[in-house]
Amino acid sequence: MPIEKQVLTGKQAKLKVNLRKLFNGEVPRSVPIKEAVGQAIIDKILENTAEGRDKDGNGFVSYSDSYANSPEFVAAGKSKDQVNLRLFGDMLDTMDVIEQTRDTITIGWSDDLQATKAHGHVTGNIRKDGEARDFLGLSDDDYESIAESFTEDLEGEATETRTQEFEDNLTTLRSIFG
Amino acid sequence: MKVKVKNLDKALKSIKKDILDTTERSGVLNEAAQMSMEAIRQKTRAGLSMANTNPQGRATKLPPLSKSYQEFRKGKVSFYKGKQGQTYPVNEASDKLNDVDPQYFRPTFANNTLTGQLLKALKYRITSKTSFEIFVANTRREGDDHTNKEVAQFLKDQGRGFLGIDSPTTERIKQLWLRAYRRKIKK
Repeated sequence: MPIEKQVLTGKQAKLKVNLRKLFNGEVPRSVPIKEAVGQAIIDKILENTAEGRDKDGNGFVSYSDSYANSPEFVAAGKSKDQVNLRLFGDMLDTMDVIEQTRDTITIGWSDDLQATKAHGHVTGNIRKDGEARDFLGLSDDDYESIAESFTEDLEGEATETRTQEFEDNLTTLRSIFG
Repeated sequence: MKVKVKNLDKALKSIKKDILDTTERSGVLNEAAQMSMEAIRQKTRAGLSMANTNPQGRATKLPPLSKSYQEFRKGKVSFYKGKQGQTYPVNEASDKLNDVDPQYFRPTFANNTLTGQLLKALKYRITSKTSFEIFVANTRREGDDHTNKEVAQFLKDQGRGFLGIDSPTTERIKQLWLRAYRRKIKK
């Protein structure tokens, strides 16, 4: 079973990450640490995307001339040569950890429009030529590096008392912003 | 002329015990204000109004320009006011068109941009430990008798208001806080 699995149903695009596989059988128990792992994955996806690379490290397909000449594209101060899937930033900046189970976290969007945009990029159906810009995922090397960076957190988890505070605050932020 | 971000205020006051220290909070607040201001600027230039959102909270298109105003922006006519305040066009280009914003001005496209001075006058200020506001500075415009604040008010009165926060931008503000908290969890 692979570490990640894309879920592309309807117009939804999600990335389901198997924590048991990621951490070689040792699964983080606390919600905040799972969220932190999710954030590390999101950060790496954003970093790759900003560099114009898809989940396999390949460069993104160029923007079309018609899109590059649109008022929206010009207004965002974008360059045709810099393909980073960022117009205003609404899609990439709202990518979130949207679900957790005991062994998995799911990264995606709570907003349907942003999920639809992501689905379009990942599947290629946003373009006339159908070419995808598959940014939603990471390489095995990226995952390995993330797993290593959490070694200390997993070891110290049993004695960590602040995780409840983090969990309370994250819950509060989520609920108030709606 | 300003937009106050109140949700943030409500959210941060409800945090039971803040994990982020003062510097980190200040950094995220500044980042949220800067990002929101830039979103207003970019979306307005793209012809969208965050002041007038649809039921889903998304920015809507600014109203189209009148045909006569499009002709003015193409440099084909100027407008003069008569003694009774009536406006009429004459076949003469306006001096104002010498100073159009070369990057964002398009004659037939409604984006609250002619010289570009108005959107460059957007500013933000942090108003408390948990809130900020974005406003149009009351600065005098070059080649004009009005201030940028007056122009913003005029546009609002014409149904072309642009100071607001749409739902994606609200979600981005939320994510800035969530991401800062999550990054803090990791040792």
